[in-house]
Amino acid sequence: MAVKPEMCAAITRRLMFVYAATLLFAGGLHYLEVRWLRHEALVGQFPFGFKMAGIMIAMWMLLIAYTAWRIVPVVRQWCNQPTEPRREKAIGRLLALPYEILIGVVLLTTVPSVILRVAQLVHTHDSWSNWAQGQWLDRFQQILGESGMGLTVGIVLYVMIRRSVRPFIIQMEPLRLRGAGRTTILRPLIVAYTGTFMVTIINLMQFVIASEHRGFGMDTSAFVASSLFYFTFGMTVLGFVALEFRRDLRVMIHSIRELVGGQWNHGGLKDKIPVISRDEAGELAMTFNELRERVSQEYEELEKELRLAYNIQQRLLPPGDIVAGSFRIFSWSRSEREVGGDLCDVVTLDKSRVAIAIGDVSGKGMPAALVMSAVIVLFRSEIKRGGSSNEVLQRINEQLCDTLGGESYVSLGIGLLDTEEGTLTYASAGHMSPYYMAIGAAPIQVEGSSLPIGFDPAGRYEEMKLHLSPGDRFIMYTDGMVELRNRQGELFGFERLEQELADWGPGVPSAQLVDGLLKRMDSYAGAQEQDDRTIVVLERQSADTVPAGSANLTLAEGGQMICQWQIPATHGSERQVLRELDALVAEAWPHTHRLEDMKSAIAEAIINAAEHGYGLDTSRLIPVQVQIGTHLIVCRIYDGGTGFNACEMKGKELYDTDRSDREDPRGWGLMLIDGLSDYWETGRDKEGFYVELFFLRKAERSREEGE
Amino acid sequence: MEQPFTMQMRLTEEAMILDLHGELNKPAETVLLGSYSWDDGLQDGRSCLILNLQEVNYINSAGMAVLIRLARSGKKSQFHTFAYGVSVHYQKLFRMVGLTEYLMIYPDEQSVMERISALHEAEQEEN
Repeated sequence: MAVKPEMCAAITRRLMFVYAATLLFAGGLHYLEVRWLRHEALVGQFPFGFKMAGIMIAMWMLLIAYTAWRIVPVVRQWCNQPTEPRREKAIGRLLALPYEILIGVVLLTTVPSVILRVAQLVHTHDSWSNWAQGQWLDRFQQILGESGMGLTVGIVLYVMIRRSVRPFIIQMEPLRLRGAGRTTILRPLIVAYTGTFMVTIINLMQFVIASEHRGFGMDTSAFVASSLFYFTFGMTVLGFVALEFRRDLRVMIHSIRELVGGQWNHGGLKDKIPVISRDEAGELAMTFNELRERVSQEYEELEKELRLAYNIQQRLLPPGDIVAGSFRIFSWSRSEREVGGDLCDVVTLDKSRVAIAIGDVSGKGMPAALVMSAVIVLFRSEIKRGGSSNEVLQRINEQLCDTLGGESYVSLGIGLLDTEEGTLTYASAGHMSPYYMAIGAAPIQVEGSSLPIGFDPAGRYEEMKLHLSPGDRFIMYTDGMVELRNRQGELFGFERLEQELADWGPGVPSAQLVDGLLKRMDSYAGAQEQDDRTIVVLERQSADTVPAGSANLTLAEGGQMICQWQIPATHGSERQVLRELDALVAEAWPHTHRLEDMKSAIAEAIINAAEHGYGLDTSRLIPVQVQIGTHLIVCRIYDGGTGFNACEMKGKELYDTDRSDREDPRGWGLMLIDGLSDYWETGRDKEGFYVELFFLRKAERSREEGE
Repeated sequence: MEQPFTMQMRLTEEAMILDLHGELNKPAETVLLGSYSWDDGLQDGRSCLILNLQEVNYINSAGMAVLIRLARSGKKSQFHTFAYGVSVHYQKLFRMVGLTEYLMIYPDEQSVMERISALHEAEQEEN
């Protein structure tokens, strides 16, 4: 909630200006009325010059004093402590102020005028005979003129104060008001209409009486001009009030349209309409807010369920990077909605055989996700029953045809990889034709036509066999990879994809290649909504391309790269992590100046784990995870020991470098970690105790600027 | 690829120069500290030990501990320890662990030699 301490002063300033402007307007109006529309001698009820100025200043100060008494304390109370009762009270006073001022001004002009003129009549005419001569008419027209002026000022103030306090009421963010619906939306209209009508009648009546009684005769042109003026005045006042209603209604219509159209903030339907009156409009705003709250709750529930579904779906997907013998299988999948219909899976059948599936379920959202889950489960069970890839496809098709009932279909490609022979047998049920890339050669699309799963229970599928030499790649993908559209509606298309694949150099890790491809695809598409995208890259590696036991890489949501290592608990094993991290960070943060800091800090954490947690037991492996995001790199090193508390360690003398009395002057690993990382923490999960190091890109930028 | 630590020794009139190669870590301890009896002082009464770190591509805390032990021996045995070819990053690390209290860092061999000459001239003047 935005509480502005200067609100009191702002309200007072605004109202002071409104009062001054209105009184000047009244003065000008009176001058115009007397000098131009009538004979000066005709009216003569209000003094001019200093007296008039004095009256106006007195009235202005009175209005300010009233505002300071009624409004300022309650608003100040709310500003100091914005509680709900105080807000209600402050808003109540602000809403009542136009009415109070209107009544007050009318009474302040009419009552003294009546008393004064009657007293004058009594004082100057001591017998009924004089009265009978009609002198009372003269006094009556003066009363009419003065009270008419008071009413005019009151009506103008009523309209202007309503308009002026409205932004402050909105600033107080009232989402409910007690007694909403107690008054009617017609009240301001009735007040404005009756007020302007009476102003017109009173002033014209005074004009006629004065003209007739004083014997000047009726000046028709002045009468017409006066009538037109008050008609215009009345219409302007009514127009002001009507425009306010129109503005409130427009806000509500806009909000309802947003709700109906499903446009809400990421936080979930938090925008509500301020309740700024106690009439039907206020009641409608409150009802709308309640409706929005309820829809928001429903939406959040749905979002929670979708998140759960997303998590389940993500767990069904294989790890991003799998090494199977001499092959490396990298997969990446992203749903454009919370859950999607793309699928990919990798199943290890025995020590030399791996099955790979990629598919796309027709449709989007939850129905597609349900079918996707069913297909993965079916694939996992059918592939273990044995058979060639086309036989497995046939069995899956037979089982799914009845279930899908013709309402949905699935394109599916299944590959069986023999890692010892280096062969791949692949069969497709209506899936996108994969690419084969011999080392250093252009990609070749492997054609194969058949119907997707779900059309024909008796469907048969062709199988083809490929031999992959070291460095060769086999790339499977879903239609989202080629049907991506830019703002002009142009497809990314096969040609661009083939061009991208042709640029893939030998020996470069698939994770890096796919990451680069996806970044370029994202920049091509801009903010356009896209189809789900999945890509699987199968590469037969040459012995020298990737060191044994290298990182297991996964591309997570938002382009985040997750790298995992398992390294022996020995001196020097941290070098493998550092070498690979070098390339990965250089790719993700190309201009970073902190790589050396990161490497040294991570090395120290690994050495600590190896020496203290794992006791340099080379048979044990240290799990190391690094998440590389666009703005943050987090490295988690499992220590294997009983653990310690980071806060306690930070409180100790980490920076005591005086080790002159020690034979082995070590023990500054944590000090280096503390000095080189932006933040570090310890924790524990199911894999054990870990040390976590954080490196921020923002910190790097600020350091660069500092330098 | 892992680069094991190796060391070559050069002698000048006033200093012993160690050209270090590879990764300066825990395994380097045996090579660096075990190859010479540093507590007995330098060969032929030389008073300066110069460490050439230009070809060292990796140093961790264990490696820095080895350097400290070496430089500490120098303090005991009355020889000065100098180093050159240290990257900006490792200079920062040396400062953090207090290694610069034992070791004087210079950009190259010539600067170290000039400093040693100046030191000797000052010593001769004192004598």
